Amino acid sequence: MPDDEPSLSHLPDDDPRRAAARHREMVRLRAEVLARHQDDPAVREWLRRFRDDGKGFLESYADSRTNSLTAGRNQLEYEQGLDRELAREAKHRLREIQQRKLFAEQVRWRAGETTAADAYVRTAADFQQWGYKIKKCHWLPRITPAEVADYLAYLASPYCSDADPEAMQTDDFQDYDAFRRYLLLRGDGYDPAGVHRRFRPGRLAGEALLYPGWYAWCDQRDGPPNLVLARPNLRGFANGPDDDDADEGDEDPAGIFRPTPPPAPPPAPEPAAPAPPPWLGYPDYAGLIAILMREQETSELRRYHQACLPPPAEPAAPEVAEAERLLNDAGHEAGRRLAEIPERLPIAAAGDWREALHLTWLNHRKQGLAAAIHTAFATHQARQPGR
Amino acid sequence: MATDYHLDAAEKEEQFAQQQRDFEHELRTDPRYQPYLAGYAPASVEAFIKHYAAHKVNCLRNGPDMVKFRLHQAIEYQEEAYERLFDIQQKKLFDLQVRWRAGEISLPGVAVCQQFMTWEMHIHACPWLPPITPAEYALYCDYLASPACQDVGHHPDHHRPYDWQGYDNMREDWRRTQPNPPADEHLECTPYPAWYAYHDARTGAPAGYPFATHPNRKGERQEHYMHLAREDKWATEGRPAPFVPDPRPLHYEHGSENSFADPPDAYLELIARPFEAFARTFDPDPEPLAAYHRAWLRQQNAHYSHYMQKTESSRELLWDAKGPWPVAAHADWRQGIVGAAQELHRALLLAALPAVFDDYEFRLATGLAPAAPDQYRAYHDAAKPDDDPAEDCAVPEYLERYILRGRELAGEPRDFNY
Repeated sequence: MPDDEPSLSHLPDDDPRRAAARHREMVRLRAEVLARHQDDPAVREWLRRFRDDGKGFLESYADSRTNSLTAGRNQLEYEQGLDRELAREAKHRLREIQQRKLFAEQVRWRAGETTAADAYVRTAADFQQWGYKIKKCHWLPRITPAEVADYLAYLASPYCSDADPEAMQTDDFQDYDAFRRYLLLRGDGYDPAGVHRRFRPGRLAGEALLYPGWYAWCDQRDGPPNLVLARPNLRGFANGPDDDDADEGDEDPAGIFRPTPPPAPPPAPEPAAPAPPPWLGYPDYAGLIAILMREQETSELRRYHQACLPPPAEPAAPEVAEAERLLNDAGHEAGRRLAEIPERLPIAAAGDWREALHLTWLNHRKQGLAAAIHTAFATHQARQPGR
Repeated sequence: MATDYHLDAAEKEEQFAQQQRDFEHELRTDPRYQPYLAGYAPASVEAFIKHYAAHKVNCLRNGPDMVKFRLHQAIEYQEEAYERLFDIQQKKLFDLQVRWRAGEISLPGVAVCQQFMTWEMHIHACPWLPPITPAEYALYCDYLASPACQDVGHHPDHHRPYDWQGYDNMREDWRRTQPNPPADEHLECTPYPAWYAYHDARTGAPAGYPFATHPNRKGERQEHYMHLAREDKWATEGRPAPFVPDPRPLHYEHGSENSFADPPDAYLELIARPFEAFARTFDPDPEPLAAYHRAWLRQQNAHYSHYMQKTESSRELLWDAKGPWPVAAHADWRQGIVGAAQELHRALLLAALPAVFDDYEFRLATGLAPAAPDQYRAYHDAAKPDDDPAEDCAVPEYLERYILRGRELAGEPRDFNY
């Protein structure tokens, strides 16, 4: 049962026509309930169990039923969507375990060691292709329960900084060059525990994760020497996009070996096309609205307009304003989500309540993810052939 | 009625929709708008027209309330601080009440206990209450800054006292802590306000003040005369039939939680039960309905759970920090947020108090009457006629009748000099 006319679905959510249709639908649903039950003697008999013969029960039932069929149904679908999202993410996270194994193969392959990859890989770029199809990478050892347990330990640790669905997540787990560059930039004082770049979650950090948190966790777990830094990239140079040899062959800055191109013909005079009219874009709206309000509208409307604008704030530096905006968003979102979770969850001491609230919510989401990973692993095991 | 509300709302929305269409038409055709829109790509102008028309409707819809809100927002904490300034006066009035009840003093125009409750409402205009002194003000600031003051922010267990002069209820509450407490469980009790206790401790009030140190002579005598008059009335008119409660349960349940320790969704089961029982018996399609209902209750938890409601208003309050504000660790995030909001509110009130006390002193120095807390609010109904404190605080007619009749029945003179 829709809470909206389908014919109005092209309008924005807050369009008055949609709002009116929603109210009419509420009236219809309410009347439907009252008409069905009001004169039913069985209902009257049933209501006798309550004080004053259940006076007011039917009205309140009609209201609750109406709200359930509209807002309640939306809420349930929204909650189910979140659960589906969690299950999907759990499946993908399980594959990170395989990605790390593939990456280790890649590093060994590049160093010229004999690996299982030899039979399936001819160039370093093939690893990237296998990475994108990690589900089909049958030649890697299967995921073991011990590995899942280790992954869950990682998930609960601050190394896992992408549990916020808004966080930037890497899609390429086999980007050897980027990861090596990142690790080299850590310098001589390489500290495996310091590989993770951020303790703060993605939403509040504002910077893309350059090195997967899971890899950082594996590095600190295995300790020095580092998987990548301890091995040379012998086979990689002949293949990768940053191949030094290949670059050398192309370089001819002086143009000595290049044949002189024939002089370009003089450009034909183009017919003067009229410049397209300027576009009145969204960034211009606020300015034009202010002008129209000042010059064309009544003083009453102008007063309302000014009251509806956000109150003037002291101008902050763009990065400060952006950090505040992110914190506000995080605080709003976490508070809203937490309010819907009927559990007592702990909050940590923090200099800013918005961040603390965000972390409370994030930890709860991590717990949900861990449960979903357990389920996904059980499904994964059940689907393995030969079991 | 919900139906009327939705019908009204639908009509209002349809009016707004019509207005929006009219605005769009006006923007497309009225020559006075055309110079502003000329020269732009037509498709972008059309998008702007839709946006601007929706914005104008939005201004008409929310503007009147937003104007009031912005006025209030600018001095929100001064308003509250000004109201709290009169907590000082409430304590002074209560101390006078204690002495009046003990028969130590008489007060101009005061003949019955109930008049203190009416003066409570007009505390700013009480002519025989001395004005607030800087020392009293400083003591109140100390109290507000101290952990003794818990009625800041939105703590679900600590609300602002609303019964400052409720001597009888406070006395009942005190009697519960004494040897041989009263057996009646339905007695109305009000805790002795924390501000009163702080004031007593700081000003060196004797131990047991006020209920153990001062007798309730006047109060008891008044009750005695009232009792005589009531008995007399019942003897002639017959006793009212005793109230027999209906043993059947109410069809709605409330008050499911008593503390933060209760499960946050305790309300859900209580409210869902009668709904689902009815739906399973009579609704043609009960199954998804019950799940939708529970989802709706989850979404509406701030409406049903007192503790969640106060958490939400605390979170709302925290935005007034307009930047970082610390929170302490807690096993329940709701209590962490409530505590952080309490500290913020305390700080904001302490910051606002000096200005309002200045204002109060200035009015006194220039011979102006202090404003009523309601009139101090940025948005108040200026058209509302001022009530006359002297008239409101006079002896209520029914009390006069009863007490004087009681005096008569006791064979005493028909006056209040007892």
